[in-house]
Amino acid sequence: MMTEDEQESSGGVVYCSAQFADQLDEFKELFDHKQKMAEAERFAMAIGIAKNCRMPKEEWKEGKKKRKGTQNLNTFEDGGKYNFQTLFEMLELWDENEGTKLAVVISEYITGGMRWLTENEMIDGSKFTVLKEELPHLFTTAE
Amino acid sequence: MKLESLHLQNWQPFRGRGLDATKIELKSDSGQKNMIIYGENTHGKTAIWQAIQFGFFGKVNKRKTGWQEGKYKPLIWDDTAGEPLLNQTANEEGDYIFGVRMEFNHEGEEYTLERTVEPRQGVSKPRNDGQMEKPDLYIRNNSKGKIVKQPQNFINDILPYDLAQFFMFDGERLDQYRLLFEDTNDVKLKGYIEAILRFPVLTDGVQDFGDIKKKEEKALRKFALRGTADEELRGVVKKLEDDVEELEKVIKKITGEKDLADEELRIVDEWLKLNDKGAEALAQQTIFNAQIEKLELEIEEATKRISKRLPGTWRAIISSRIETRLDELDGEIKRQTSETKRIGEIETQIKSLEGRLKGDACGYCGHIDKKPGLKEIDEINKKIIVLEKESTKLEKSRIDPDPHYLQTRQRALFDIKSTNKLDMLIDLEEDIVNKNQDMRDAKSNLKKAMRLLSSQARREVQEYLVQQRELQDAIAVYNIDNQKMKDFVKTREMEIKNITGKIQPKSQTIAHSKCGKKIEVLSNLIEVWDTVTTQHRETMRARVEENASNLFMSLTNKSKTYKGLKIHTDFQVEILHKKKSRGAEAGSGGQSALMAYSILDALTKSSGIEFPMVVDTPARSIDENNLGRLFDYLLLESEKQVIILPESKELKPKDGDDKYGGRCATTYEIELIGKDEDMSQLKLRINNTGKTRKEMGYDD
Repeated sequence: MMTEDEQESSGGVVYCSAQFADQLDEFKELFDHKQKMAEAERFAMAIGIAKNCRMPKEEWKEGKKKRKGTQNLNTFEDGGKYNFQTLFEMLELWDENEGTKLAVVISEYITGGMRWLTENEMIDGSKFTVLKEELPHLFTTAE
Repeated sequence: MKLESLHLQNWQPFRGRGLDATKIELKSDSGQKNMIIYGENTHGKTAIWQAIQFGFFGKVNKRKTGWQEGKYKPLIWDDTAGEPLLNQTANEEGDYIFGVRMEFNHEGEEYTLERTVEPRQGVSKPRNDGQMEKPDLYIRNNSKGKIVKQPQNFINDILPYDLAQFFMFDGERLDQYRLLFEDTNDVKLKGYIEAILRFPVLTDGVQDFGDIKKKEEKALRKFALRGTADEELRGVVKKLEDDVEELEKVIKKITGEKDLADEELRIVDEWLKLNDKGAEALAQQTIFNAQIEKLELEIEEATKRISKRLPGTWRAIISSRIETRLDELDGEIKRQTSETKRIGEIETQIKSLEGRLKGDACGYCGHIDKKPGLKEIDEINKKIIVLEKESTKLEKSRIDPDPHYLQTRQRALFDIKSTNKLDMLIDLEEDIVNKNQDMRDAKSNLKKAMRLLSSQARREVQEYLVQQRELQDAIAVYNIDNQKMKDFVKTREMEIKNITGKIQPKSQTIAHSKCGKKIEVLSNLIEVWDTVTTQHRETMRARVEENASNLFMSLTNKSKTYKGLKIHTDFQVEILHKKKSRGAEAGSGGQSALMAYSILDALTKSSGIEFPMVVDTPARSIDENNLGRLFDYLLLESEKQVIILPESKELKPKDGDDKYGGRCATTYEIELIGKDEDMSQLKLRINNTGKTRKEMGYDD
């Protein structure tokens, strides 16, 4: 079995910083989905992208805690249903030539998104109104 | 009947028996028959009222329960909290014999009634009712010097227990009489009122004639069947008759069971009415619990809906950024398409120019131009070169970037993009927030309701509510069963009628003809009796209405507002308003109490039953404005013997002496001896003794 670092170096897995492991664990319970962890991470990643709050790995404060939601990029892409490489390229969030692996970039967006969700107390699913304030275009009748 | 004396033997707060018994005299030389006994709360007024009830009927209702509720005071108890009939001091001193002795005049003859209770043989120190003998009743006709056999039947003939509630009542409970009269669904009330107005004699008559007629019809069938030799036909009729007989037995049984259930339900209803606060608190608890349960489910449901909505939401979150990229891709693709199109156009143009050089006919219209000159050829060639240059440039541009690459990206972004809006999430979340607030409110209300009821009281109310529901269900089933049985009887009787109607006996015996005639006479009699009963009921209703209405109008201080009382055929009563638009109404508490008095008085007056009116705390529910009129009526105008037991705040003893003393046989005042509530004594007041107030020991 590969260690986290080995998995990371292989470049094919995404995860969330151990810093938000507990929050992710709680957050995933809000999703009625067969892959609730992946779904929760995709949500966090989307928030990271929308709010432009990527959290570089250097800033992660993990200590001895275990990372959460580690999974194969293909699984994360829902068995290839979504093409995140294209997405990240098109949104100019990742450039293959810069040397950082796509999965790492995704993980940084997931972690950034989780930080944002935590700071805005949305982990227990009771403050979706924050989304309306922060991302009004997602709603038909923005206040 | 007129009450002449009442002796209380170790009766409730009145200690002493035999020569030491508390004696109340109602006989006076002046010929007056009324009596007032003044007493403050807890001094023993109700005990005197109850002594009369006990003397006549051998049982005493608990104060806070209704006449019919079936909850009676114990004969003996460890302390006064159990409200025993035996005086507590007597109990503690080992004197266990108690009871009531009354003298009364009924239809001109003098009687002495004694109802005594003593310990069972062999029991030296009784502790409960089981160790006491049942109250023993003894009545002697002093005028004839004879002991009355079956004394309770004698009393019941004068006034049945159920009807006594119309003669002996408690002002504190007057409101319940009012409710009784306003409740159209109280079948029992109709029964009582009909009984007090002596309708049963008439209605039973119709029933009795009907029964006789039925018997005669059966006999007639026998005569008819005797005249036929058809054995089979006889057998059929016999079987049908047996069926009817069996069914009638079943109906009787069901009716009996239903009557019992009705009575039980009435008691349960009454209990719940008295404990309505408890029932209300319990009902509230049930409502709040149901609310909480419902809210929990709704919150769970809304949370589930959010959970179902959330997957895929991430696509909507990044869609606006994807949108921008898609627009750019679209621009590229459009550019490439337009370039491809342009290349095609250039090819066509070049082809056309080359044809011109060759002198070909026009590709579209077939027109052949004259061959071009050298100058023109040069110009055409120049054009062709420019077009070819442009085409070469476009060929490069239209595949940069690779269209396939662009399409792949476009498809990838399309797969992720979502046009969904997230309003539903907010709506559901707001819904949950509101429901959580409702839940907090419901929980707080539940706590308040829980505090209103002790767990024991809750259990008790719950039990009564369950019992009420069960009885209601049972009664509904009895009604259905009864109706079914009655329908079966009807069908069989029709069959019997059909069969026997076809039999034509050759000749009729004299007995046969007599039987037929009897039936004819009975049918006519039933019809006449029924008409008479209906007319009588209406006459009595009208009489009660008139008497009650007149009394009400003389008692009420709102004679300009009201025009009287309306008594409906079901004996529901309403106060009529003078203003037509207002119609009938229930009236205020005080007016309704006067209404109840008026009806009670009119009923007893119309009943023809001679019995004293005994009223405890008579003015408890009456407005101060109407008080004077009520006492005037009861003590100065009413023809009945009136015994009232007021508190001083209802009627001050001095005012009572001055105004009504001369119209009373006696007036008494109850005093407490010492501090204990179980020791009271009666003092005769001045107007009946001929002594001065000072001589009687009064300060006022």
